[in-house]
Order: sequence, then C-alpha cells, then structure tokens
Amino acid sequence: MSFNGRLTIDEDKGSIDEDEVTTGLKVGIPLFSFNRSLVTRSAPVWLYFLVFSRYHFFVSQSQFLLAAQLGVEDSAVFRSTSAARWLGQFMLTANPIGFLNFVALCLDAGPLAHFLPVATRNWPTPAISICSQGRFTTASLEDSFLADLEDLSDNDNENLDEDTGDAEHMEDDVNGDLADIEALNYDDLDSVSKLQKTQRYTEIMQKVEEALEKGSNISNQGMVLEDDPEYQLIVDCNTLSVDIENEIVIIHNFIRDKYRLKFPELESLVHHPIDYARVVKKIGNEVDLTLVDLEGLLPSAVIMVVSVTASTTSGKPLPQDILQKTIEACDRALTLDASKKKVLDFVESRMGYIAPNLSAIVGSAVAAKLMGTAGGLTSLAKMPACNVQLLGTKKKNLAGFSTATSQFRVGYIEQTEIFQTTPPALKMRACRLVAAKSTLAARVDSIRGDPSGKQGRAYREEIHKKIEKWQEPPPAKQPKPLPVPDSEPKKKRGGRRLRKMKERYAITDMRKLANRMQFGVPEESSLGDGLGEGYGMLGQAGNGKLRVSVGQSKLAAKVAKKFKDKQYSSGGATSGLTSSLAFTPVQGIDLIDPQADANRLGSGTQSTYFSETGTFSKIKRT
Amino acid sequence: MSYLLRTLTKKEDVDSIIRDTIDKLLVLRFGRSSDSVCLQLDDILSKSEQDVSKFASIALVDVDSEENQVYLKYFDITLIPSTVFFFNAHHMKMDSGSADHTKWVGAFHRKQDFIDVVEEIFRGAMKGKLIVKCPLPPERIPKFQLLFKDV
Repeated sequence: MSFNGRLTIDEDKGSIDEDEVTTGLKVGIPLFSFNRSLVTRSAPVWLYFLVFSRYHFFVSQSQFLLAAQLGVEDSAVFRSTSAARWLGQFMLTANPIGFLNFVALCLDAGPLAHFLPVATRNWPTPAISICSQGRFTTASLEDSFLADLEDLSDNDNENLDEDTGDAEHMEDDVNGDLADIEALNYDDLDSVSKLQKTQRYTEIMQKVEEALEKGSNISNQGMVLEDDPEYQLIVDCNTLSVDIENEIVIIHNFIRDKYRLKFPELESLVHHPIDYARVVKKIGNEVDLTLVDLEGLLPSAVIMVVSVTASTTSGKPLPQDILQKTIEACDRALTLDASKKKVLDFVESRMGYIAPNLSAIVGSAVAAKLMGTAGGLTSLAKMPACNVQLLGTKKKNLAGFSTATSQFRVGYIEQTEIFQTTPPALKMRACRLVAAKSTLAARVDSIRGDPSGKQGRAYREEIHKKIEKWQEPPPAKQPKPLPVPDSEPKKKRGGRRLRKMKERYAITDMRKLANRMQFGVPEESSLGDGLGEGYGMLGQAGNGKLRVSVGQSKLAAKVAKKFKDKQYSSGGATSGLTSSLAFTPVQGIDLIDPQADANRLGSGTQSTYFSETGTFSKIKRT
Repeated sequence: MSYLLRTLTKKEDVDSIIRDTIDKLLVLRFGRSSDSVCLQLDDILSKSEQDVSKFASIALVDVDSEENQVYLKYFDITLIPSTVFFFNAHHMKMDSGSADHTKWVGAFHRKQDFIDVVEEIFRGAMKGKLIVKCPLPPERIPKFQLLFKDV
C-alpha cells in the first residue's frame, strides 16, 4: 500500500455525526465484503478512496485504514508490511478517541454488528473490551497500542542481534529464527564455546608447545623463509590468537550471566574478563567475603569496593549444578588465556627473525598482532599506512553511550611503547608517524632487505627525534625596537567599501552648484541682498532642472541599472512575442531613459555653462 | 644608571659623537650622576634606549668635568638635568610651552613621554624643521623658572 504522506489530523474531535458514519459504512462495507474473496493488499486502498472523501474531515487516513483492516483476514500479512509500522506510529498521534468512538458506533450500528467477531479477532484484548464498553480513556488506549507496537519492533531487534551473533559464534549456531532466541539462555557451555574442541586448536597448540620446548635452536639460522613450515605455524598462531580472544569474550558473557544471580554488581566492578573469571572462581558460592582472599587478583582499592558491595548485594547463593558449570567455564577461560599467552610468546620469540625491522619499531608483541590481523607479512606490506594504523581497532560503541569520549581510531599501535610514552596532546601525530614508519619497515622485511634490523632501529631513532622536536618550546620572543617613525608608508585601502564611505563626505552636486556663479548674474543669498551665504547657481534659471534634488551617486546608479535590467528581462517563461514596453493610450510609445537623471549633470566637472542640452537663458512669463 | 649609557667626559668625545651620529637623533643629557632628578631621567633613558635605537642614540655628558664647561656656557645650561637634541649636527629645538625652547629641562614622567618627544623631534627633523611642537600635555611637562641675570 502506498499512499502519499498527506494526513489530516483533527485535534478536537470527540463527537461524530452518526448518520454520516453509518451511511458511509453502509455503502462501503457491503462493497468490501463483496471483494472479500479477492482480498489483496489493494482492497483497503479501494475502500479508503471510496469513503475517504466523506470522512477526511473527522477521521484521519491511518484510522480509516485500520477500520479497513476490519475485513482483512490475514492480519499477519497486513502487519508485516511497512504500512503497519507507519500506521502504528500514526495511531498514537492521530486521534485515538475519535477513532475508537467511530469503531464503537460501527459496532453498535445494526448492519455491522455481525462484523464484530471478524473485526476484533486480531486486536489486543484490552482494546476490544474498551470498544465494547464504548468508553475509553487515552492512557490505556495508548498503552495498548504501544504494547502492540513493541511486539512488532522487538521481534525485529532480536533478528538483528542474531545475525551479528553469527559472526562471533562458531559453526552451528542459531539462525535468526524467532523461536531460538530462548536458546541464547544456554545452559550448556559447550553449545556456545567450541574452540577448545576443534581439531585446529589442538594441532596448533601441540606444535607451539613443541616449538617452545625446542627453544631458540632454530632461530640461530637467521631469517625464516616463507616456505618454512614454521612460518606457516606462525601465521596460524596469529589467527588462532584472535579466535581465542573472541572465545574468551563469549565465555565471559556466559559466566557473567550465570553469576548474576549470586553477585550482580561484580560485573560492573571488574571489567576484564580474565580477572572476572579468577574472582568468580575464588569467591565461588561464598556469602561472606571476608573469608575470601582476593589479594593479588585485583588492586586493593577494587577489593575493598567488591567486599563492601558484596555485603549489601541482592544476590542469592547459586544452586550446586549452576555453580559447577560456572566454575567449569572459569577454568576454561583461564586455560584459553594461558594458551593464548603461549601462542603469543612463541610468535614473539620468532618475530625477531621474521620481521626484525618491524619489531625494532613497534616491539615483537604488537608486530605479531599486526601480522596476524593483516594475514601475513606480505599482506601487511601491501597495506597503506592509514590501514595499518587502524588494524585492531575495537569497535565497541554500545548504543546509547556517547561517542564524545571515545578514543580516536588507534589499533594495536596503541600498545607500542612509543605511543604509550608520548604526551596525550601529541598522541595522534605520534600514532600516524609510527604507523607510517612501521609500514615502511614491514615492506623492507617482506623482501628481506635488511636482515639485521638496522633499518628498523634507524626508523625508531627518527621517530624519537621527531617527537622530541614537537615537544620543544617555541623560541623566546625578543623585544623589538620601535620602527622608525614615518618610514613605512601608510597602507591605503581601496575597494567598494571605502568608496561608499568616501561618498558620504564627497561634495554633492548641490554644493558644486552653489560654489559657482553665472557671469553677470548676481547670486541669491540666504539673508538676501548679498548678505549671508551665497547660493551660486542653485535655483537659477539657467540650470537643466527646475529643482536640484539629491543626485544619484555613481554607485547607486550602477545598482539601479542592474536592478532595472533584471526587471526588464523576464524569467524566460514568457513567449517570444511578449514585449516589455508599455503603451500608454494617449502618447503611444514612451521610451524613458533611466539614466537620464544621473547623467544630466554629469560628473560635475562638466560645465553646464556651455551645455548643449537646451538650457533656457530666458523664461518668458506670460 | 649611568653605567648603562655612554658617559662623556672629554670634549673630543662630545664633538665626535655630535658629528658622527648620522641620520639619527642624538639625545645628550647634561647632568650629574649623583643628582636624584638626574637619576630619574637616566632610568627612563636607559629603559627606552633599546626601543628607540633605530632612530635615536643617547649619551650622557657629565657636567662636573672641566672640558665640558664650554658646552654648558654655550647651551646656557643652569638647571640639572638638561637634555639637548641634535640631528645631523643640527640643534633641534622644541616648543614645550616653557620659556626655553633649546633644551628640555628636568625628567620625564613616563617612558612613553620620552619616546613621544623623541619621535616628534625625529619627524620634524626628517621634514626639515628645526623646531617642533611638544606632543605632551602641559601637566606632564616639568615646570621651571628661568631667572635672567641682571634683568
């Protein structure tokens, strides 16, 4: 159903003309029932158009649509369209009282009474009861509609969550089916956390342990070639460490959900997943926290806060089986953490021989992580530096939290020693610099250009020097001696603004006229008889005008000209036969030169003494 | 403060400095380094020396040395301190509302006053005037009484 957005909402309508309603419906509904067998989505449209013109003044579009829904059998279809959503919103803004009044009347009216079961079948029960009573208040109505609306929207949100959850979860997880939302409250750890059982994991862990035991024997050979199986192992280790991290997050969520019954505040006090797991394991089912020793697991301030909160917590001790599961999950998290450490240690130890230059700049741990995320040294080398800067950014913008305080986009580079030791004001620049140099180093490493790592150390030195330089204070200000007076010529400004300013003080035409005199003609004066200020040529008979008015300035003349051009040129919508001349009935064509006034006296330097534009030397009075 | 500015005791020094300061205003203060008003004036002179260094140079002439008595007689210096201005070996005069235009008698109230006076004289000199009007308001000009001998 597509309607244009036009909507008429009446604010004050409570009373409806009953006759009109019933007549309209008497017409409309039978027609509609005729069409019932062919109910398509367009049927309400048809009905709407039939009766809308009659009712637009008291019932809104959305209300009427809903009334039209009365006959639609398949409400699920109706609901699932976007129109339902739109409708639901408008139901609250439109006049619900008016609408339900209208419906109540319909229900009471004779010919429609048999529609009641069909009509109200799909409505929420409060609405039905209210309608049948014929009396309603706004609050409960809106509540019922709101409840209806939330049902719709909740389903959608959960669908979305499921889709993103798939990326996190391993192989065979729930598929966004509505019924499986409940499965998210899993009871069994294994249904969620599967990594430890995979083949891949066990293989790689085995190899890593072997290699770690072998020690640094292999490393003495120098650079590790790419075909070397150990190189492949390192690449696998990188991806595995990322997977382990994700897995730990999942397990943390699991533990948290289970332990919430016992100690809900703990999750907000201890954020780190591994610390949380350790604390949970230590506390277990204990109610009195003074018996539990958390030394070494947490900083002492946090221990204090935890023990205080525990004394006032609202949680209850867990049943034994849930406790068992929780402890199991904690153990698993800790083992995963330990294996991740092993993997990282292994990669770090080999990193100096795979990419010496890169690890000289950012350190082996970060280099290992970068390589892992990039998917190999060559792919890291191919990335532009801006991408390297963003490798490993955590996009944890929870909806509803402000992003104003979120740190700028830094990834693993944030963990390098260089970044940590720069002052916060320079962190952004430092990050960019480190990313650029490390990209160069990675490129050098990918072609085995410098096996000794000298280039990497040189870059590191460079970075340090640059950061030092940024932190230098600016050179001190020397007191300057005063400049020689009048040695610099004054800067004359020009332009339109200055000209307009000068115009205010320029000599007007009136003053120019007053300053001159005609030959042989005595001038008039203010006090008469030669006394007072003389008027010169002002007001004398020989002028081009009878009266001297304020002459148009040059700029004003230009503006007026532009304006008149615009006026005369039409918008382009007129036909070619139209003319902009005005024919007056008496005179015929009268062409006026708009510049005549401005040009009459000219620039003032032009003398009107010898003017050719006919100045009368004598005016004969008759 | 006299250790910050050049003090001239010999006549040749005074001569040479007047001759050799080219295209710059020369400010010669005649006075003693022990006098309190002199010290005030010297303080202001030394502080502003760097600021006006581009168009003026300052020197102190000791009134107590015998060789300089000639100058005291010539410029008729009786009150200490007195400041005489020269530009390219021309003696610059300034009308400050007092009876004597040839020199400035006394100290200045502020550093800015001194700089204003120096700038004004310099401008006048660049235009070729030998006498300029003082830019300071009368309350900032130190007053003194001229006693005419035998009049």
